[in-house]
Amino acid sequence: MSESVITTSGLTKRFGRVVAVDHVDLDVPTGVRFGLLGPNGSGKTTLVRMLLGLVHATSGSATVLGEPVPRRAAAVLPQVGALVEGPAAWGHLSGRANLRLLDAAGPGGRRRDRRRRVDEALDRVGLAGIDRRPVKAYSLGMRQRLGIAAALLRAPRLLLLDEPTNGLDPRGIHEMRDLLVALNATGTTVVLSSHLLTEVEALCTRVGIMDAGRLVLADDLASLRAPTGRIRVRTPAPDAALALLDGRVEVRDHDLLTVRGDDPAELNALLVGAGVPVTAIDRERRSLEDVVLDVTGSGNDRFEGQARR
Amino acid sequence: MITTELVLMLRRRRVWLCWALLCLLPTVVAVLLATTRLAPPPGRGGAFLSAVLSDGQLFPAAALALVLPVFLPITVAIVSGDAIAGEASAGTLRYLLVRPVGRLRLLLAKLVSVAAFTLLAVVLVTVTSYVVGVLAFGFGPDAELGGSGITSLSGATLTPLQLAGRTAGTVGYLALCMLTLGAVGIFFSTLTDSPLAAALGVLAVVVTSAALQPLDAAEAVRTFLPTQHWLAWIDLFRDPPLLDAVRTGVEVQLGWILVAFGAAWANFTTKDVTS
Amino acid sequence: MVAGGRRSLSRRALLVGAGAAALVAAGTVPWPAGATGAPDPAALRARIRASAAQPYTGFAEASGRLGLPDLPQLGQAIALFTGTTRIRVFHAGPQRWRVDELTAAGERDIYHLDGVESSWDFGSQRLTRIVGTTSVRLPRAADLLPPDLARRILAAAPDDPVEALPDRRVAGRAAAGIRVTPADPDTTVAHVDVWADATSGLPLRVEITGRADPGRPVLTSELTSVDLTAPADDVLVPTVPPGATAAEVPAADLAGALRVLGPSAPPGELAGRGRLPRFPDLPGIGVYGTGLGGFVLVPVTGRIAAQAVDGAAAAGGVPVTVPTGRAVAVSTPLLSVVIRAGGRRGALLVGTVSPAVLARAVTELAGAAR
Repeated sequence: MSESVITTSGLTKRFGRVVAVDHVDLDVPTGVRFGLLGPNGSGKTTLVRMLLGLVHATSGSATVLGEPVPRRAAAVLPQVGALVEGPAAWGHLSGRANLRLLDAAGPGGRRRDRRRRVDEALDRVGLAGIDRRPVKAYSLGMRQRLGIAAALLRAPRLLLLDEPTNGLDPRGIHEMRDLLVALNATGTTVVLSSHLLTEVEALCTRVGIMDAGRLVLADDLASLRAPTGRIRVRTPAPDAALALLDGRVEVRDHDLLTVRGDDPAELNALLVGAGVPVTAIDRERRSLEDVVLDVTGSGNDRFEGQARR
Repeated sequence: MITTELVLMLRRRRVWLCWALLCLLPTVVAVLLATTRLAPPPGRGGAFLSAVLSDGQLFPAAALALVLPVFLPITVAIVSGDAIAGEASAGTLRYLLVRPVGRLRLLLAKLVSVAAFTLLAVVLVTVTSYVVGVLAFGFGPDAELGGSGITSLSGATLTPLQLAGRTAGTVGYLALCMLTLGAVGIFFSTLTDSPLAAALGVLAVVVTSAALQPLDAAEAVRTFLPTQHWLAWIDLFRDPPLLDAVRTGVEVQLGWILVAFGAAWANFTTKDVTS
Repeated sequence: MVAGGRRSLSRRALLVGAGAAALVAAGTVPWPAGATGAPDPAALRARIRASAAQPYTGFAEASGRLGLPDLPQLGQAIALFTGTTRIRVFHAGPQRWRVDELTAAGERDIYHLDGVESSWDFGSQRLTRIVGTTSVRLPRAADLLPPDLARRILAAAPDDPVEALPDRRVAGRAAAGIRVTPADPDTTVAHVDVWADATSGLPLRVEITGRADPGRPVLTSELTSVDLTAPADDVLVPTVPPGATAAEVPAADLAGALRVLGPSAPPGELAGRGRLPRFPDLPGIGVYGTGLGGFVLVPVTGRIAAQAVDGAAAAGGVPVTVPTGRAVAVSTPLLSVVIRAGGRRGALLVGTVSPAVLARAVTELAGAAR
């Protein structure tokens, strides 16, 4: 087995004259929680669909779990759980019947274990107690949970989830996050796409950012959020601190100062030693938002540059 | 996948509604005929309708002739147009494909479920109209003599066994004719995400074919029109049964099914599923 | 699977298109005829004329496009020449046969058993036994069967020149063809093509082409399937099903009906054609001309003639100037009709000759009647 669960090289999809995915070289290592960030229409969903063999690439190639897709999709997909562009179910049947039919539709798994598999999946997403109501009577949140249950049905090695927390209330989002972290801890690689920064920031260990069809950045969240070499200090006496640290202060915003330096302990000792009270002090880190704004801005420039070529 | 498809079809209310409507039309006709005793004059009106009054056992044949031109094609168009387009517009198509269900396998399962629908539709019409016919018109003039055979078109009497065999042949033949529309519907269903558009496409094929049929200018293509052979089953009720037209009909229908299903396969296996 | 989407789509589409084309071709392209080892045309003509005893069962389709106007009480006979007729035949011999005319909602059958004819009509649920015989009757489906049609035509034109046609496959058999081209300059028939089973001489396909449209036959009749074995005896015997009625009717007494009319004897010659010695028992009826250019004179009552003249004129008939009374000519691709009305009696002239010949004949008739 290779180190990566997903690799793509030069993956491109054109719909007519529109380039939905543009030369994407993606690499998702085994065991990570990967967040694919990007505004609506940036090509996330098309990329996910290509990885699942639903959409055929115009050029480039992709492998999932070490096998090329879509050529070997039949061998790969049984080990992949997916939620693509919202959940879907046969509205005239109950949630349980939906999962049973879906389980029966594809290969693998013994028939006598079907009931147990379905019950387990429903239990994991908090739908253990659902009744015989048809799915069309479900709330948006219940449908979302059902969709995730369907993805979990086959105990997949890879989960590909497109906007998984859509329609869930805050409590549901929290439960889902715990569930995904728990699954990840048992070895499942989780790839989720979202346009919500906070969701990705709270859950993922690695981030890819898409803009206008291009993958403009892919890096570990930890290194994206590495210290910037500045320290943020909050003090009730900013003028005194300013006088003391003359030259090292880069930004002053009322009682919040941004100071060059790597060691907050040293700065704290310096300020306290000089009688300047400190109410809060910490290394400055870039927020994911900063990163996104930064790279998508330059991404737009590059896109224009390429269009002219 | 085939089991899944059959379960899905049998649990759809729309399917049962179609069957109920198909059985309703002959029942209404039977009730009207039985109360007024006004049969259409010989040679006019639907096939067998004038002979039904004297023997209710002929009513299944008359009922099939009644639902064949419009009702059956409409229900088959609705059900087959829904095949792929319905799953696409509900979003379940993408989940079936990533389950994974092979695309050819999915098409085959859809074809089998449409075949099951048409066969059951024709069988249900036959069975209900037999019951209704016997209730409304009785077993015919010689019932008290112990014989219950019916008169073939050629005048010879058919034994109940012969009648059952020929009715079974008719059921199979009509189901095959309707499966042609089903295969065309599945093809149209792969072209669009709208089940309604696919169903209307099937009806457009039926109407075009029926419009070309009587045209002298269309003589060269007449044999290949799907509706051309729909009435060939009437030859099964002659004595001895005449199989020429039925055989040609079966060949043409099988050809259509093959081509339409092939076209569906060619289109669907390489299609981008973006629904 | 890189960059293959579009290309493999078109490859699959091509495959399906080729399959469809192959299926259509299998349904349209004729099979090679195969060698028939046919005799020369004259011998084949003789063999065809002698083929009446050949037993066979089969299914035939005849289609005509004569464009005859609708005449009162002749609807069924006219439909034979203006539409497509499906016919099933069980032929054990000239005196033992059954012919079914198949319609969408029933059938009309004629059983001929040793001189006794019965007819079954499903629509009216009636089996009718016809007592007696008549020398003239209206055309019926049985007359359109290729064997009957071909033998009748060849008997009418025994001396017209024949030539060989290329073999073709009819009803799954290799059939040898001959073409009869009438020598008569005034006939409406351009030629008659007959294909027959070479060994038995049983005609399998007949095409009649008119001079008006030499490109396309006006009447085609073909056995689409045939089996040269005798039919089982039970299919040849009519039965009265329960609930149906059985009736006996005497054969139409044409002679009596004609005698009531009191027609004058037909002239010995009309439009330069001599009268044939046929139907001596039917007063007033005359058959003129030999070969494929001939016509029949039928006397009718003045009332019916007047009606027919009005009807034919309204349907686009061409008026013919006659010394007394009125006359109208109707021409179709094969048959010409002239009707004369005037006084107590009228006349109907029908034949496969140009309308001008009939117009001449009716003028002579009107002159004689004066």
